[in-house]
Amino acid sequence: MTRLLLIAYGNPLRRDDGVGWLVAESLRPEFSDSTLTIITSCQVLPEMVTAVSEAAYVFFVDAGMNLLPGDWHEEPLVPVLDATASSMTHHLTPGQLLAMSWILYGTAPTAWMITIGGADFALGEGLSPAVQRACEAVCQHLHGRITALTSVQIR
Amino acid sequence: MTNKVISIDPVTRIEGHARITIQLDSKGQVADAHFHVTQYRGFEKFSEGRPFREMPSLMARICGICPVSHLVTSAKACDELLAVRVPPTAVKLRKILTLAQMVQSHALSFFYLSAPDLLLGMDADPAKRNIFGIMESNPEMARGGVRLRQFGQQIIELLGDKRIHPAWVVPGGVNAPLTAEKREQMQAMIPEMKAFALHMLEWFVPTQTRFAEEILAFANFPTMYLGLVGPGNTLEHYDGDLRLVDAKGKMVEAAIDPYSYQDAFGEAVEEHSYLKSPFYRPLGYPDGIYRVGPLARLNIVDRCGTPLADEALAQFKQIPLEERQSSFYYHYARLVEILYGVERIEQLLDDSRILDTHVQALASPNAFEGVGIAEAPRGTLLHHYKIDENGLIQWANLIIATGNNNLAMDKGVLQTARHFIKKGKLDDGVLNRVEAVIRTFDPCLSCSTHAVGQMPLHIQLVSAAGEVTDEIKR
Amino acid sequence: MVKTLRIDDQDVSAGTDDTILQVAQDNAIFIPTLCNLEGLKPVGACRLCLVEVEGYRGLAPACVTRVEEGMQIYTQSERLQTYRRMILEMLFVEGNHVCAVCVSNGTCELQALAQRLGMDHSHLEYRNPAKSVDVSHYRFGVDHNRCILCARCVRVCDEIEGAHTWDLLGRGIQSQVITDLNRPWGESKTCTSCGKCVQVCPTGALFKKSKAVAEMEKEHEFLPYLNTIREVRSNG
Repeated sequence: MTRLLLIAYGNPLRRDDGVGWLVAESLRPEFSDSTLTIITSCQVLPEMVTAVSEAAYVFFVDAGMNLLPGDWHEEPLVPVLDATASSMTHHLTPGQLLAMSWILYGTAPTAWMITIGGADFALGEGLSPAVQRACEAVCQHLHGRITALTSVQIR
Repeated sequence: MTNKVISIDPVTRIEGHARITIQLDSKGQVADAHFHVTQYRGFEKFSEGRPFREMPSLMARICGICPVSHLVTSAKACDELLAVRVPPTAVKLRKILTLAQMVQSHALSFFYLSAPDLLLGMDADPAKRNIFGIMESNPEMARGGVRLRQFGQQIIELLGDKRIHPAWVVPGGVNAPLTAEKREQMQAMIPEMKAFALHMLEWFVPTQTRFAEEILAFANFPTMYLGLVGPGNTLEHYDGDLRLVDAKGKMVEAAIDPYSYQDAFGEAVEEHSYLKSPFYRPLGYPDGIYRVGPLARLNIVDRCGTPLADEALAQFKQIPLEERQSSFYYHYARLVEILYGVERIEQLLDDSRILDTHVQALASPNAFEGVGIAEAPRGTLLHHYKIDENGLIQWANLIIATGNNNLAMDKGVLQTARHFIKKGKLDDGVLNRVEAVIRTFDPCLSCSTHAVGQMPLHIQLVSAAGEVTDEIKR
Repeated sequence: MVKTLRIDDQDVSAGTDDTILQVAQDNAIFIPTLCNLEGLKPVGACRLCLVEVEGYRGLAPACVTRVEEGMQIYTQSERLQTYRRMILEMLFVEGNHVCAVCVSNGTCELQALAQRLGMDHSHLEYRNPAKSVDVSHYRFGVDHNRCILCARCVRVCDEIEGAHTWDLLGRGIQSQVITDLNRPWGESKTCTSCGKCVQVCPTGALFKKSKAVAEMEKEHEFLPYLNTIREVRSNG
């Protein structure tokens, strides 16, 4: 069985910043736990490395400020040893987490980053309209991606 | 050369916000140095008028790092208000929670915050001196750090259903028993954790010879040590006697009455910090300086009470006590305590009555005053409440683990600065050491500045060239 | 006699004496309420159940408005959603609702409604009023910081228990629930300590003193049952 991992991060109490969580929660009922492991968190944490090292594929989902609201894209991720960023905090970037998996467990799963441009990062729950539409589109996209990845493996 | 003030702001890789200032005289020698805690809270004040049963959850909000310690200590103070005997199984479950918190906290302090210095050296390239540097140079240790932290977090989550602010510990006990399934999940993790804890000790202990200078100058001075001890002078984090020993290991107070702590300890307010400085009253301020936390606990006890940790403690005790007064040994002590924590959790889980369902004693308040004491990862934590006849909090006072170490931290900064700063010559390695001495104590500043008090103000204007152009004090 | 009307463009039928709220609930149409509780007389106090009725000048409280033949009712308009959130915001800023340390965290009707209606923070300024806590009763406590003045306690004590211990004192934001003639609850001569007020309270304002944070679960399934018994007795 292919092990897929979805790590959605951001602050669900900061409106569009929580889009990853909403993507994760709407995919949760669609797949069994043995197919897709879902982790939601405010940040990418070093402790996630064990789950990453056990996965064949990982999707990271986060909101971004550098995209137009409602725009989204998927890009492949590579392990990044950007050491300067983490000397004083306990959180990492997805690339750093992959690097960590590679160094500690000798395996870095194939991974993609899905970034969704946010408009409203004020205190509160719920998405702005454009991001809501993007959220639905990303769910549909991920549903297809995950189904494809799991069926390839079965053959 | 004129007078010069060096400011390290913020101090990195600690929990909370702080600043260090070092004053140089005209010859470039260190004239004085201080550790400033720059954040400000107000918990004692806003608990007034609240029903006492809210206190454990309310006080847990002091800190997102060690909420469990406040939860447990507050519940112990509330037990005193109820004046009941907490069911033995509830006591054991609370102990497991306390130890799990300690393991994950020590793992964070050692592996995430301090290991970069310890593994790569104080003078290593700052770009390498971080968690990635550790992973590359010792992956086994990094795996252990991650897994030990996870272990502690998972136990807290399994017991309290929440990782950060569990409401499971309540006055009189806990509000749900442990299930067989959860016990098995916890037990399954133990062997791996023991192996990791042992591996860390095997690796770290010999490497300490590299740090002779740091051992010499990292808050290396005689102080008393304060901590809880179990029967037979064993390591204890939840129950037991509050013991104070002097720098030579001689008993000062075998068992301080929790209700007389205000006779034993005073709290001095320093102008330069929001953090109060407790001291042992009979010796006065500042001679009544003492330390708490992992090093203090190990320097007080004779035994741990678990087989592997007892061996580790025996090895630790081969270092002469006068050398073991260096705060550098907090790191070593933390590793011994991690091993102890894992072993003790195993013992408690194996207890035949750990699944008992009677886990809460029910009562109305029977006493107007309650003091609860427990050992937080960082040291002795005390909550003291007074209620009216209906159970509303009239007054609360907290003495926080990190606060107990405030005098020693402040003095330690001065000692380290004097030792490493020669003729005003500064480099990154020297500055890193001044921070590292604070990190040995693993201070949690969010917690320790919980109280309302005087707001000291200390602003220093330092030009790019290092000239103090202005300074305001209040 | 049956009446037919439309709610949110859906054809529904109703009994003559039904209120809009009853008909909506029978047809699984959600209208938020806080003061209303099955088994107690509706009072229209919280204003959360306001709906739009075609031909009406103002909004109508669904819990006390009887249906009429041919009524056109709208329950989900943007205007109503905004008003509902605003009412909730006012309830939150007029008291001191700190969910994290409340006995009713996770089971509170006010909290649940705020979540359901998307009131995630307040646009109004918190007033942080100085309110008291009365825990003089040997079993129960009242924390006025968490009271939303729905008067369920007043009604259950009067209508069901027949003790009429609870009442409302004062006007506007100064209002508060009181026991007897504003004496401490523990000194009340009329309170039977039955605990019904505690069970019907939608928030953590009324609570059992033995409960710690998030431990207070309220039960009010007993109310319709007690009402039936009362009706049977008075008719028989």
